[in-house]
Amino acid sequence: MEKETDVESREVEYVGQIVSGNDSEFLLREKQGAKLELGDLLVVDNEGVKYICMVSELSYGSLIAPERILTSAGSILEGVNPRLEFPEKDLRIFRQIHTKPLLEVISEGERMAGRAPRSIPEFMSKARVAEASDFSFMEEPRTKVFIGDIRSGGKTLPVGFSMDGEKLLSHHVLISAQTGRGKSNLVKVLLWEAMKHEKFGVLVMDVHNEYYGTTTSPGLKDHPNARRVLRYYSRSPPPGGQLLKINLKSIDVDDLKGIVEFTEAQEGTLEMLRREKGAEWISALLEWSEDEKGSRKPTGTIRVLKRKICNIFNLNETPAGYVCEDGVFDLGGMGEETINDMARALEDGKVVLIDGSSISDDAGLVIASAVIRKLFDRYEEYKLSGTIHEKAQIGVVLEEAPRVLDVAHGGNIFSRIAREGRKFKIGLIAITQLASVIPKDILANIGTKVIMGNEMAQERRVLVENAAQDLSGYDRIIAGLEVGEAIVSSIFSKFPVPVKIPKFEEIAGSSKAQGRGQTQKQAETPNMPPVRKTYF
Amino acid sequence: MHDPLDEICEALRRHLELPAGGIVSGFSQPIGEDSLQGLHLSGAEEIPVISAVDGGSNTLLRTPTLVVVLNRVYYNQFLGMRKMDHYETVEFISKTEIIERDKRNFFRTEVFPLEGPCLLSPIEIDLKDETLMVGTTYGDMSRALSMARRFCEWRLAERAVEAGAECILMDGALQTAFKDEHKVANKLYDKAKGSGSIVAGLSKSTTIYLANGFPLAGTVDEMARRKGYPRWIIKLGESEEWTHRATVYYAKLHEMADSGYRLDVFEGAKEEEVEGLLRGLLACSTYFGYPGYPYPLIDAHTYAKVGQAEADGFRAQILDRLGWDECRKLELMERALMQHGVLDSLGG
Ligand SMILES: Nc1ncnc2c1ncn2[C@@H]1O[C@H](COP(=O)(O)OP(=O)(O)OP(=O)(O)O)[C@@H](O)[C@H]1O
Ligand SMILES: [Mg+2]
Repeated sequence: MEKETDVESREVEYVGQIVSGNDSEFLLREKQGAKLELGDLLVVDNEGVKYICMVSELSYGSLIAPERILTSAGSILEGVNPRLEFPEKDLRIFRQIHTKPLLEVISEGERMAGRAPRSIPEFMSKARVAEASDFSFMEEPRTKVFIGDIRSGGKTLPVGFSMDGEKLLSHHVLISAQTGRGKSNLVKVLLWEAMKHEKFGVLVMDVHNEYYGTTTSPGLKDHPNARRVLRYYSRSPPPGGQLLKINLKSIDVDDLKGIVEFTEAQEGTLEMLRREKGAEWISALLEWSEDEKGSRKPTGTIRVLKRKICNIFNLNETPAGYVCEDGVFDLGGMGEETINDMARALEDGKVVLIDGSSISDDAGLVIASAVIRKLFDRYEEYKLSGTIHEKAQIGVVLEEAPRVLDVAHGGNIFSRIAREGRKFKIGLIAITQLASVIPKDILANIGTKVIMGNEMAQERRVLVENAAQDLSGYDRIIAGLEVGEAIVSSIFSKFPVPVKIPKFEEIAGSSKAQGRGQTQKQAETPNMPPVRKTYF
Repeated sequence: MHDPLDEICEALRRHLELPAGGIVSGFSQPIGEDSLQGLHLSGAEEIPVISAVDGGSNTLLRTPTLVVVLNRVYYNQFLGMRKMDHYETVEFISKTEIIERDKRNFFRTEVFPLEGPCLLSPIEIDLKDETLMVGTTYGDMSRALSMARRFCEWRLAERAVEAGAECILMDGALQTAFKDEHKVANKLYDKAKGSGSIVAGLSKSTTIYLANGFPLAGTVDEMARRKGYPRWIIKLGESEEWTHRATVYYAKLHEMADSGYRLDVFEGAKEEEVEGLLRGLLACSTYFGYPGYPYPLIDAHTYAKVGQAEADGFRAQILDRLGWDECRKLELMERALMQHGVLDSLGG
């Protein structure tokens, strides 16, 4: 008995038939009762090739004169003449399914290979709903980072979609969604995945302190490799964590520029301070007595600069001099190596997670800037010495990315990563609700865009226009994405991939359950041995 | 009174002063408002199973003396608006050509079944047969080529009776137009009578008129409006001229119908059978896309229809099997019939 015949003889349930269209859209007549939804994946099987497409629009079709329909509907609606019927299998009224072709899957001998659609199916071909086996062409990347399961509308297929970590990070990632659609969850999932490989250095300024985890909720601390690859800095670190203490000598004037706005005069003063005092420039500024020796410097400027610096680093003047209220920044001799340590940890392929909840957003960005500046210095050297390919790929998670990526802040280190980080193996993971504020050239430089639900038409338009694939016609689909659902448009995938990102608690939880009796569901989650899964 | 358009309007006004009744041309008894009956919606009474029969065809090849046609004839079963599982399709290609025998010309039609039983043996009919005359012209090919389908409809209706239909509903009048067609029709009538079924035909349009020069359609609709009947029927009687052994009615089956339709019922029907038929018709004429027209006929039309794409496909298959030179000659002969449109395409 062969099992093959079993599979082949199974009757295919068709849901529609192609009745018109072109290479950018197939129009199908829906089989009655198929109840297709936006985002559903359909497959059209032709000889030697199958076409996978996504439902992008639904409309009505009828062969009855519009006037008659209106009259009949009116008479039913108004109860004038309810004695009108719609027969069960009326062929004259139907729903039309508009679909976007995603890709062609061709059989090359034994193998299947996916590619961007180059042709269209036979006219009048029938379509069925996609199933897991339709994605058997997807290949496993070398260092796989699981993103989610392939999704057909609201239903997930048991097919994991993973990307190559090196490519993903080096060519930048944009995670775009309206608030509450699961951006932070996705970042957590990505970090969890990255930590498995012990070779990706990812810097995370966690402003809400939501990634590490607490005694009651799981987080990155629960990763099996956490002890080796996670470095957690906090003002009040748990056992195993690092004390977040940063000496202000590690902060450069450049780290502030591009994050805090300065007037030309203020910038001039800062430059001068750095020239004259070097790393001590902040202490020097703070110690500046306003009635100093017939100063050439404008006292107003000094006063304002002092106030700004104090605000950013939460410094207060006391009789004993300036002190940092929350204890994170130090003007004396403590925390001198912290920035260096962070940079080194990243270079060693660790996730450096900084609890930014106790410091101002600006201070957090300034710290991140200092660390990245260090890294850039080192990686520039590696590049010159030709050893950069041996070094860990770096990623920088940037929350509310437009704040520092917009045109006004064109000169800061984050824009630099976006523009030339690829050469130095430093990539961005930019998170935002407002992709529209990010300059076009930066958007174009981002290789992978994870598009999540968004109700703002303007945002959707920008995302569609800047995607790696032609996403025209996806507007309704994007608007309808639920929490955790996404379309991944990447230069590394042949089609815009609809995925359902797992809830972090599910993957973290199942890692603990490892070894115990595993359910089917758990066996399919990404941290399990990749026996039955296929990857891109 | 010199404006020609004014004169036309004057004539039209006279035409629109519809009479209260009169003798229907070709029928014997006069009709008037009192002949009109309101139709009441049935309560719980039973309705009969209706089988609608319809045929469709499309020409595949055509020279002046040889035509190949793809035909499909279909019947279904309905109980009210509900389609039942049983139906039957007969599909065949018919070839009609002019042949010569004993110094005389005949149309000879042969059928080649594609699906379902072969219901017809070859038909031969003299080119000079008066049932093929159009005006004073003998041997109209267009008429001859539709004989096969028409005969087949009668034959398939017999099978519908055998399958248990209580009412057979044909598309069009119960009229026989071709030589020997009445024989085929009679066979159906006999079979129906034998099994207690009744045969009816429904026509969407009618040219029946009153002897006083007014059309039946309109005159009766107006009468009904005055009477206030939302649904109605009027009996015109029997007529040699208009039908073959049938009683002709004119009826409006749904209050939202655009007009009344001509209904022929074969002479063997008993009164209560006609009443049953009407109940059945009222129950199946509520399609929201065409109220007043029996849905089983709409259904039969859909499945009998032979689309252009389908015909083109068959034509291509035939041409595929011919040699290049054969195709060339065929095209030459076909061209004689295809000059329509050339003048139009020249504009002006
Ligand atoms: N993939 C997912 N599957 C199921 N639930 C999810 C998923 N992603 C997020 N959620 C849930 O949705 C809620 C919001 O998620 P999250 O905090 O990640 O959203 P966000 O986009 O980061 O929001 P904000 O804009 O507030 O930062 C949380 O309760 C989270 O558990
Ligand atoms: Mg968030």
